[in-house]
Amino acid sequence: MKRWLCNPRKTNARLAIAALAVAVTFACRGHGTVIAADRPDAATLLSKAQDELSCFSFDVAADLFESAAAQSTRGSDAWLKGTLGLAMCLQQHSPPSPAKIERAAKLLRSVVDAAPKSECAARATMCLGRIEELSDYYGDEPQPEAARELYQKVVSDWPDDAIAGEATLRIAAIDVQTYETQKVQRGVALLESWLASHPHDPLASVMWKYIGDTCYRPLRDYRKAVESYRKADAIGLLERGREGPVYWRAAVLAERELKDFPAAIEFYTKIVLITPTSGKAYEAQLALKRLGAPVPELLMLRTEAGASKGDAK
Amino acid sequence: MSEQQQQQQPKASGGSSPSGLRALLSFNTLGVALLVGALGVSLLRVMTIEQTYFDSSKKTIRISHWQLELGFREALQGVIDAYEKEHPDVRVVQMPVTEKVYAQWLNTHMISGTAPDLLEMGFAKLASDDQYRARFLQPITELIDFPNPYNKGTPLEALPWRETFIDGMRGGYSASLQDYYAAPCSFFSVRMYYNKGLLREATGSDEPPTTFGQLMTVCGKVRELGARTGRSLVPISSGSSNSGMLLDRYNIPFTSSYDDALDEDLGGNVTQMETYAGMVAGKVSMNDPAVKALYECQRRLAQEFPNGFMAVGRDQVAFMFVQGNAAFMTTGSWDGMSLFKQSKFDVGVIDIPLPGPGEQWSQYVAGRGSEAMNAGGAAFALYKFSRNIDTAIDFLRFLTSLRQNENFNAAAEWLPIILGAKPSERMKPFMPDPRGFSSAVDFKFGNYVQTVYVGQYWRYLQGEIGYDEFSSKVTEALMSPVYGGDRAWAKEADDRRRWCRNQERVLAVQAMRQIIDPAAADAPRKFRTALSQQVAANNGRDWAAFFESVRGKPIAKE
Repeated sequence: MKRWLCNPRKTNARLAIAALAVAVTFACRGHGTVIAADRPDAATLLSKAQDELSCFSFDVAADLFESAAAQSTRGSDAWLKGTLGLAMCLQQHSPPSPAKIERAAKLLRSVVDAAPKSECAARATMCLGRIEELSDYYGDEPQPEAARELYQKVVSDWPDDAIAGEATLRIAAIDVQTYETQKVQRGVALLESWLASHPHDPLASVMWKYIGDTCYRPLRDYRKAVESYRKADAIGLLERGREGPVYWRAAVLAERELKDFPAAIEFYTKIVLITPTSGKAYEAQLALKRLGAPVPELLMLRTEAGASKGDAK
Repeated sequence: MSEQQQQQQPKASGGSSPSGLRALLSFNTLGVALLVGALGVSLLRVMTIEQTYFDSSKKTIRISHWQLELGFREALQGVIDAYEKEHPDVRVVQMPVTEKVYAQWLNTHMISGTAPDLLEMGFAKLASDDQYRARFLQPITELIDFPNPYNKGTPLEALPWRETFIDGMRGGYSASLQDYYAAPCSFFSVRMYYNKGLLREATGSDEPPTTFGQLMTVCGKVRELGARTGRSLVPISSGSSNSGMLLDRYNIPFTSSYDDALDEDLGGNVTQMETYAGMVAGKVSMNDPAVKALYECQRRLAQEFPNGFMAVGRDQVAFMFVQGNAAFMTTGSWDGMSLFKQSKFDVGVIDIPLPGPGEQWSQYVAGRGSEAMNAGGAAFALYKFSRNIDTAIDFLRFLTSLRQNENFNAAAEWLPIILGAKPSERMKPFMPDPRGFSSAVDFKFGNYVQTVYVGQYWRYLQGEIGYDEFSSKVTEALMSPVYGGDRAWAKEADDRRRWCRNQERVLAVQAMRQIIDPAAADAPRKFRTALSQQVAANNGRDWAAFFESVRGKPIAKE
């Protein structure tokens, strides 16, 4: 080494190495400065985490949420969002594991403890309920009664928030999923009672449709099923352009089981006019003909007349 | 050679050049000249490309696709030219890429951030799978509720963009992400092409058959013509790629009448699970006259296919037809231009003929299958990281406006997808017909049954086994206590439960978006929709409960 350093013929090589070392040192210093200067604040981290979450990148989002929480004061808005976000990422990360779910539950409870009346605490309680209700990994036994208690807590503690309706729907669903007639009826009654006092709940349409589905199977209460679908439709079925199967079920039940031909005509007509690409428009036309009702023309796929589609609606 | 000669030779050959011209023509000079020439051409090419793609005076957007069928590129270029004429500050570059490498090519560019601004959906995993779609593609949900400005002055002027599509943009919708990602440009349908000249030669008329019976008569006459003239003629050109297109078209006409009995959830169709439930309950069987008639009809058709048709590939099928060696061929409207242009005879187009009144099997036919549920194709999506995303959106609106979509599809000889756009004269027979039924029984329930079914079905079609053997083997597979329908049902129920669990991820994303960014206007709607879908499935218990009601025993755990 010494010989190499003293060798006058290696001067250029030594100079080059020294220059490279200096350059690397400066580059690293500069980079470090940039990192320090550009260190994002909690709001930026949360925003980036949300972007990652929208792409279902739960692992990347988890790191960002964790960083946001780490640089915020416990109980602050950013801490609550960061911690809740991290917990939800752990809960949804695939593949799931007992350790991840356990940590998620611990974080969710810490959110509830830190700000028991906050919006984040309400969502955290719902998430805890979902952990209890669902089987997250192999061998994870659902605990519906524990979930029910947590949902009930949401209804009690945040009665005026939209999340109360969601919790009510979850409680009803626990009963319906048993497929035991009495419990199913109890679930339906709970939803009806909620809708009577909260007719404008953001989930009203979802609830009416769910009542309709449940009254069809397993309850076989076809009259109530058709009525419920009508109410859901009046509010607005959520998937626009995909109402066809609901209309078809309501129409067939009305015609075949209830002999309520005006209701059948109402729904068959909707199929032809509103969901002509559902595949049942032609059969709805045949049904209308059979029932002696006016038969709207199938305009949708006839390009010559297609421009009238808007008029038909 | 003497030493003296050896010393003199180099001098004579090049050492002392007699003239400058001779020196210029030496190999070395030629090599240098070639090198310089190649460098010049390369430079010119680089500069041309740079001018095309990086012209700073214009906004450049790129549109990629794999449609190398005759006419498509020219048709798209026509729209591009019209757009550039209206927008002199924009350059649109078309990038056709063969489907053999489209997936790899697009995936690489999407990851590296250099993907085209508009890209045809399909093949590429990053443009198809939901988690990648959400990352790399720009949703257009918020745009499609507003009218397309290029429809101004047309009957579609006031309609939301989405409503101007025949399929309501269904082809570009992702149910799990609840967003629209692509706008389709064309519509597709399947028809039977026929050789008018050959028909005339065989039957004395080029009038095409309109019923199944007439089709069989014509096929018989084509065979007779072949035998009489010593030509190797095939009535229906069919192979592994297109035989299903023809045979499957008979499923709905023959079995849609089972809809009332089998559509347990009144969802508007009969699923494989419902078919199996119907078999268990004695509502349907492979020995029912209508079911047997369906398979007999399909086998009768297959008798008019080339021998060993399962080994015949797509190219051979088309070649057989355009060479004039087949009277009929079934394929989609996308092959129209190629067949029209490459055939040296007049090509006609008919709908798939069904048994007519009084013909064999006609008593089982309820009517044709509806084409109302077809979704559009050639759908273009926006690359999320496009530098000119507004211009790309604008071009997509232009391409799917009434006038341009009509021009584009007329030039490509494809079917337009915008309401009111008229197809070219030759494409009129392809216009989808919404009149018809939509349900059919389907016995292929579960992987094991499907394997047995497919294997036996082809043997049956090719005459290797009779119907009794075919039906008994399929029924036996379905009723197998270990691998049959019960197991398939348990698997479906388990998949359903997993789907419900996965839906929880969609809910988590939308719930978190609402908390972090209250301005995320679409989040509440997406949350409600996902919740509605999930709750309706009762955590996957719905299909398990259905099983228990049919089989009277608990469903097995997968």
